[in-house]
Amino acid sequence: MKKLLVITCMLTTAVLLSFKTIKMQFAIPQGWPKPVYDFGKNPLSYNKVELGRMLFYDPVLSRDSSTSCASCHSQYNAFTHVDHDLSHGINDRIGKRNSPALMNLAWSSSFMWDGAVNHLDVQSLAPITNPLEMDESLPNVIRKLQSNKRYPAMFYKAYGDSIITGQRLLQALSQFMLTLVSNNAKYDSVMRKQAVFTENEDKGYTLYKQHCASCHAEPLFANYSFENNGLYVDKTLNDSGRMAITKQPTDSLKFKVPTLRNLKYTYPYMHDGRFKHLGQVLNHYAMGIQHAPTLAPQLRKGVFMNSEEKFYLISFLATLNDKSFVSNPAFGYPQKYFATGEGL
Amino acid sequence: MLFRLLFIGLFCCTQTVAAQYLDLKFVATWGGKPVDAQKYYKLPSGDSLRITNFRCYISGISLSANGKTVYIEPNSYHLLDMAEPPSMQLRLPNIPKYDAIYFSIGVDSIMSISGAHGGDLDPEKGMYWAWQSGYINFKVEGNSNLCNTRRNEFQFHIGGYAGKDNALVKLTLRNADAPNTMTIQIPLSKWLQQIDLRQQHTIMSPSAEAVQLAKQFAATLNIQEP
Repeated sequence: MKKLLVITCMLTTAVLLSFKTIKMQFAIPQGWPKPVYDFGKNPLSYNKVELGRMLFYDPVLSRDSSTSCASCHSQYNAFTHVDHDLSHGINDRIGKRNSPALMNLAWSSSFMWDGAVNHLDVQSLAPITNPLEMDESLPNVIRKLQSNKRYPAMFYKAYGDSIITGQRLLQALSQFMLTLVSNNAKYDSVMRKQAVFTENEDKGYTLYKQHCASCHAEPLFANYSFENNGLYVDKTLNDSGRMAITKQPTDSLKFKVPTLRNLKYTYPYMHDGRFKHLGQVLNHYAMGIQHAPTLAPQLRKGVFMNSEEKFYLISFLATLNDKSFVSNPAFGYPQKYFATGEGL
Repeated sequence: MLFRLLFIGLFCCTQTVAAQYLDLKFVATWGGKPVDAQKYYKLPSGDSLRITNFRCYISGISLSANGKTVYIEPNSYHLLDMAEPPSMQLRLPNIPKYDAIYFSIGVDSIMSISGAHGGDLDPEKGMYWAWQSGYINFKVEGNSNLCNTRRNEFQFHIGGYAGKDNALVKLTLRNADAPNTMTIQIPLSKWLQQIDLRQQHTIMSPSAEAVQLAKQFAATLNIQEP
């Protein structure tokens, strides 16, 4: 009897330990705010993150198995689609907005340029089902995964049984996306006192704090609010932004403030990808502001900088480019799970 | 003291024994009879319509007796689907005596803003809006010659959780007899005939119209006399 008890205890410990080894702790970078995402409801584990990563890179999520999340959110581009102004879905269908860069999503309180999506777990539903993006349905994705030779085993590893549900699939995708933390730019090293700004960068930092920080607040370089930054309305799109969601005229032409991190990799800029270069963006703030009742008050007078100042500011913005983020193999195409020529 | 405790213990035991279950049956009806998804129904105007799909969330079920809450169903979210008869019937185990039942049509805002849930709330059930977060509280779809749409379809996807567009409707049904089985009728004939299908046939996002239709819908529900 005693023996049995001891064996049971040992087995229990072994089981507990084996789970412990795969659990992951989400590390909050020093000095950063508390994440918005509730990790208590979807605790990170190595196997779930890996499942999410596999799904992220697998075109099986699209109707014709041609397009994966990574098609429009590639790591080399800080998880956006470089050189496309508007998103690009299956059968070369063109969407109506610029695909956003994915990083530091645990701190984001809403998703999409207009905040249409209120939680990271349900974000993936939008591109999966949008006819201009992946044009697929969740039940059909589940059917495809069930008959796939790898997924039942991966769900088993992640969840303890091989049942594939919408909730599990979506939460695994969240887990991978939550790990996409970019906090190793030069700026971060300077803040950690491991590096120093050059004189030009330092001047640019001062200009940033003066002109940009009210919306693009440190350390995330976004405050996730919705603002009208004075862009003229592109008549081919007539995109009213946040107002389409809230139906409030006070939200007309407002879009979510994007981060200034990793700008080197994420061009073109703005919700419709209208600017290819940072210089164009700065010129817009200096001379292009369109006055409308909802214009952000900070922009009423425009942001004028001479060419020297622009140079300093751009030098500072370059310190927000995180090379380790775009080259971290843990975020990349999971070659080991795919056969040659599969995925992406 | 000991005697008193024993007495309370006994009392509790008898209470548990006396406790019953309650089977709640929901029936979508046309003119008092269960809806047949194959059948075209004649309207008084001579037009006709067919209901091909009816799905609805019932949530937050509780019971009261003499105005006091006596039972709250834990994790109370149920998706009724006319095409799946077992889903139209719920069993509440171990309930005390009651004279009123409360529930909501739809899913509350807390569940609408807290990510992907499982079971009946799983987004794979097709009752979650992909392009703008939130649950669809109920869906009624079908065809009618009154609708100038593709395949004469009408599609009511009624939902919305935020602010003025909150389409969740709470309702109370009283039944002093506290039966073990209660059939709740959802008279879609009454609801659909309040709608001018020529003008209003497609709702797929939160709006004031959706809120109005949700209220009208809830007002038609009633306990079917045995």
